[in-house]
Amino acid sequence: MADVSESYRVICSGLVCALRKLGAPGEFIPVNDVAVYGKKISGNAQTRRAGFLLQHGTLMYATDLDTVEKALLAPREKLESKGVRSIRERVITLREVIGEVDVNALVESLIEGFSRALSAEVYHDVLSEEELKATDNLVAKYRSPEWIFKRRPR
Amino acid sequence: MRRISLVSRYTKTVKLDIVLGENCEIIDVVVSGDFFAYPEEAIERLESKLKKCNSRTCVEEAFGEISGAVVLGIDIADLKNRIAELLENCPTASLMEKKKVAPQP
Repeated sequence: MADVSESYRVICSGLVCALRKLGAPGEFIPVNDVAVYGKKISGNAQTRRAGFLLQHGTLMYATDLDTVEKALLAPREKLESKGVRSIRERVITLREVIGEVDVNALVESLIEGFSRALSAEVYHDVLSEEELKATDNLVAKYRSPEWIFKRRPR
Repeated sequence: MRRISLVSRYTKTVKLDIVLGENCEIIDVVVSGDFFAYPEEAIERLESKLKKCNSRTCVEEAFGEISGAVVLGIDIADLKNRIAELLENCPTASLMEKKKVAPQP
């Protein structure tokens, strides 16, 4: 997992595997997306700290695209660079591809997909008391204007 | 002071918001976009090193500071060149003043 690009591909292949099991022809689009029929269904990001890698991502299984379109302010230029005119043209949901989605079946497919992709046994776990308490501080941090506008031009 | 925004699109997009001083030195710069950098702190280190730069050499040295970082989705060499060109083509405040008062033919 030392190669960042390769690690995105390996981890996203778990999603691809899960989607294909459900009948959606997912494909990895470098750097960090998974698409179906050329439209984005999942976006991912990684952080690396102290020898650990965390990747998180979305999977739009039954997303309300009207709300997405209202919530996201995608610059026109960015959409044009992807050859589309609107967010709706750029993305797709699993429901649009295979119809109504059974969430339990989706979760099972994801578990199987990631098990295969990572050659690892996946198990359920819950946050410890200590971890739950730590989230209180994180909520305050990530809600703060200082954090939200950290990268804004001064 | 002049504020300049440069947007470059590669696989991902990068935006540079630069504040230039009277002598075309970088007073402030914010590098943002949807690209990835590992370690993430490399971008803040680059911003810090770019401050006070007013030449290609200085820009190259600043980028040299993050040469060990992995940057995905953008062409870092092209980005370096764009900033260097911006400084090379930047008219200083005194030159702009001269142009303003130059007699018209």
